[in-house]
Amino acid sequence: MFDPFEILNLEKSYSLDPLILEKHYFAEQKKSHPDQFSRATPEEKAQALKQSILVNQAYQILKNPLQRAEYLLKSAGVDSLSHDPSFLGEVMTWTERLQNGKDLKPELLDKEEFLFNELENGLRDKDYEKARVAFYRLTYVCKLLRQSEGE
Amino acid sequence: MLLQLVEPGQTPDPHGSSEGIVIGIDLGTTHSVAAYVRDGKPKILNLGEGPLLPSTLSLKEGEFKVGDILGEVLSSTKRFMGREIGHRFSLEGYQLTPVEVASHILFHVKQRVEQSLKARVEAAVITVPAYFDEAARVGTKQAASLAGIKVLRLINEPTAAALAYGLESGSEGIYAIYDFGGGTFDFSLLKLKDGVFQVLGTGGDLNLGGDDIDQALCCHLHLSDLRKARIIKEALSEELSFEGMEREVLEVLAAPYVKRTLKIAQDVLREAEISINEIQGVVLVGGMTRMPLVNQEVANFFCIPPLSNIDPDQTVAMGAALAAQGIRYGSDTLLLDLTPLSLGLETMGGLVEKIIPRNTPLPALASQEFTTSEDGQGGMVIHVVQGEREFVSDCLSLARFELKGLPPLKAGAARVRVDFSVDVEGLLTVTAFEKTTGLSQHVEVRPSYDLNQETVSHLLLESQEFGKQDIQRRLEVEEKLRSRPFKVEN
Repeated sequence: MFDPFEILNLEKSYSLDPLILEKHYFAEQKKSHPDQFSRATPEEKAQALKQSILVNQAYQILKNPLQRAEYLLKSAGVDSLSHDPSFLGEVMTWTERLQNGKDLKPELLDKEEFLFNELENGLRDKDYEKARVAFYRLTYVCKLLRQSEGE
Repeated sequence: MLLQLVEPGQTPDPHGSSEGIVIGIDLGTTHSVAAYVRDGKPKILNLGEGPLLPSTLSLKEGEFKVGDILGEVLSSTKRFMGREIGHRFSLEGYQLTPVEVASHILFHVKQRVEQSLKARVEAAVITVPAYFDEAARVGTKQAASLAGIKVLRLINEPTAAALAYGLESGSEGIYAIYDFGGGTFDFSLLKLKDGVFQVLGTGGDLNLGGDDIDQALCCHLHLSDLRKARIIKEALSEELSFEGMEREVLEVLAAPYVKRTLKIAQDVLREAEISINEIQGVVLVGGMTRMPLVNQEVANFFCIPPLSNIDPDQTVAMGAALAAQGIRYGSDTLLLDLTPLSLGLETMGGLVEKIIPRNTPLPALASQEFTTSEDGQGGMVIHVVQGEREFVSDCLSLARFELKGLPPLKAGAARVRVDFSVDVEGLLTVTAFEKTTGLSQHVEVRPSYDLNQETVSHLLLESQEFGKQDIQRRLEVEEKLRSRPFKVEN
């Protein structure tokens, strides 16, 4: 199974220093990028291309905190998208306020920070229910944040 | 100052071997330049009358001639690269495609280099604007192949410029490459670290260049000849006044174009989430950056004096030569590029399903499954498009093919997987296959169908302007389609 942490030779953990991630990404690309194989055999080239694509995919997932969390939840067997009706009410209130021209950015940023903390703690303590709820809410808060910035 | 990609002595001597040499070619809109590496340093080659070969084609006594600027000549044809099929330039009875014109120029470059170095040109790195779309990249490769040049790699002009400045050696950080040429404007952000060039974001306008300023000057002075305007413009970069024209007046005419370049820079910075104070340096490329106004405005915008100690017309070719040497003989430098525009395909209701979003690192592979909407549906039309908008009609059509002979199943039962694969040069291959039968078909995207280059540079701009409107339309259409599965057919 596709494991972005394994591909980039990293420990499977939500907290990840972006500089370490980048270092590993570059190191793995240096080993597999097709430009390094311009004089290799067609088989070696094909193999390198495949690996280089995987390294890019792994990097894309791990550098995005939400995608990283989604992968970790999935690999722990948690359905990250199960519903949370109580929260949807809150989302609808926010949406209405946004449509009425309210500046929600500071409020949403606070919420985002709080939820990312919850997510990180949940994943660290293997409290997957806590992590799942935080993840689910974050997907909405991030969307709302983008909307509030687009205004 | 210049980077040594390869330690002298560690690699085969390019001249002594029978392998031939590798060169870098900057196939520019107004000029083309070639370079090769000797003793670890890039050297510009003389292509006839000097380093700059005008990218023109004419006919002299029944023979094609490259580099003339007088008389009936085809020029700035690069702007049309990848344009709709059937686009032809007329030259004294001949009908030529942009690819054919480029191949004549490349063939000329190859011949001149072989004559002056007395060695065979084995392969080349050719540069393209970072913003060049799929079709234009394929066109450039076809032109090289027609000219008998093996392409080691297409690389983006800004990356080449950064290589020429040797930015990866010791100067870690984020750099902006501001490339204002005769025909096009290109802006890229590169991150340099541990010998890796990572493109963080890129933007540009295929129809914004020094030519526009020549045009504006022409109008202002009521001149009939663009070349005259160009001479005045170039002279005013050196002198405060020339033939009764003041530099200040030219600057007033040029200012709106310079503003547009900085607006593009601003957009790229915002999208890459990079702030101006994170920029370590700005590299100036392209003839237009000789204009003092450009230098000054760029310096003001970035709050740092830009790097311009390499001739801005030769920077890209020098970087291309270093890249050619690096790829051919091995190097510690790695170029990590991105897709300049999103790639996707048409689904029900004329909607675009993005498969590979813009700014995805290359090489990339992404898949999506689709299904039929009618019982016994025998085929599926795969329509590949490029662009940021939500509707097919607002994107660029790249290719269209049909997966025929689907098994006669109930609607929604067939499973067709579509793979999009983009290689390190940004070239796309699309494969579709039906999972139960293993039926498959694939296409390498070629410049064809209803491509219209002029719309390319506006695609992104439009997507920002119309983004919200599109999403609204999309939600409405999706609402209507909710009960139906996706169908990839017209």
